[in-house]
Amino acid sequence: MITREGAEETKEIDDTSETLKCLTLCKRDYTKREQKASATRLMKARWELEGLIEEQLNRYEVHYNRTMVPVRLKDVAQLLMPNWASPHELTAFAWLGDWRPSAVLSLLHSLTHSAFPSPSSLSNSVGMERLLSQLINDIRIEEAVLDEEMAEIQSTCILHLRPSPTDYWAGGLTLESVRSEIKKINGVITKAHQLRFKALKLVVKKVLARTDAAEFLIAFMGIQELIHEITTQNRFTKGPVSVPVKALAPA
Amino acid sequence: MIHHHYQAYYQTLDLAAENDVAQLLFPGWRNSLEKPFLFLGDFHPCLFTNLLRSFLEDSDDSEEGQYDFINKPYQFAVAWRNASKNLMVKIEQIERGLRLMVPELNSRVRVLQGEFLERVAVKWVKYEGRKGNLRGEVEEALVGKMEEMTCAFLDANRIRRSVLSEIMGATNVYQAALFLEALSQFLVGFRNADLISEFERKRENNRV
Repeated sequence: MITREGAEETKEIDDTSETLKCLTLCKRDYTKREQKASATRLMKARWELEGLIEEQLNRYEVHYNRTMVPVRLKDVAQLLMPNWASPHELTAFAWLGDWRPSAVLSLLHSLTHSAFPSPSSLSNSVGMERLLSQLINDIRIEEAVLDEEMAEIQSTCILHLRPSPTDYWAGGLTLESVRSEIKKINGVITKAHQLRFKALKLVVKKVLARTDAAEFLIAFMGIQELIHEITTQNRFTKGPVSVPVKALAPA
Repeated sequence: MIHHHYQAYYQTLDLAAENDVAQLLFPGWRNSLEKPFLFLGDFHPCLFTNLLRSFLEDSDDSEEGQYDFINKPYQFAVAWRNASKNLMVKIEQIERGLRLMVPELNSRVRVLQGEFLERVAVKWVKYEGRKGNLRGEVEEALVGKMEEMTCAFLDANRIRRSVLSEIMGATNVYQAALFLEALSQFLVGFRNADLISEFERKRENNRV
């Protein structure tokens, strides 16, 4: 009997501890599940962020591919000096019709130096600093090459676009000759666009971590908007430039 | 006379630039035919030396028979024959100068734009992208940069002016006249109303 009772007691105790064990296990399971769920949420957020960044990059890519295809010859002029931008805006940061590729990288450089967005991860990273200045250098060289190409077209166009001195009556500018020159210029703009996208992609994909890339894209957009706003307000829209007639009189 | 006209034109641009350089760097009054060919607000200075060179090179293989003798005296026809060695040396000298100065101007503009964006970035961080005084400080930075841009534009014009007057100095009167005639013809060509309207209508069929 005693043994039986004892056994039952032991069994009861066993049961209780079993339940306790189960409870703790359940609790641990629950915590684990919670952790897992929040980790999944984090992962999901990360993917979402990555998706958003990807989307944003794609948008830029589409933008540059679209603008790269001029429909009419006069669109090339529009690409170089777009109507939507004020002259001040263009003066402040435009190169061949849009933002300068090297400036994007310099922007990142100065943003990180002003402790953005997480100083610990960014500005202290010597490796990134080195990578960035290397990239700025490379992009600048590519910019200079395109500058040269453009200068070559602009300075030799007179040879193609004027009547030959030995063939005086051949007439002046013809549409065909202009078309071929404009086409060359369009080629340079296309390359400039590709360089812009390359610079942006480098920053977002290579140099920065995801969250920083998101912050950077926000700052990049915001700064452009800010400059646009400022340059289109009253202070900078002065109306046509004029020169006092007196100043024009021969000295 | 025509040379004076060009010099006066560039002086006018200089004066106007002091007022508002941005409108001169991106001149709205230029038509869409001209705009793609502008370098810092006007035609590229190398255009002048290339034109001069083309005269010298053409003279080597040109036939007298093709020349319009009816309207022009003989001196013009032979203006580029046996052009002096000095002229060639002079062109090379001008071109050497331009090869140094033009990239220098390009990089100056690049540096100015970079500095401006850098300042904006610093302010952006300072005000955490919130408006506040951000606007005011960016505006100040912009005004300051415009002044420096004016200097760059004035230098570009100075180069254009000095290349023109150096060419005038190096050529004889017939050569100079032919040169200015061709230059003016070229520039006027861009204003041909028929061509512009055709140009603006024309669709670019062979897409890039």
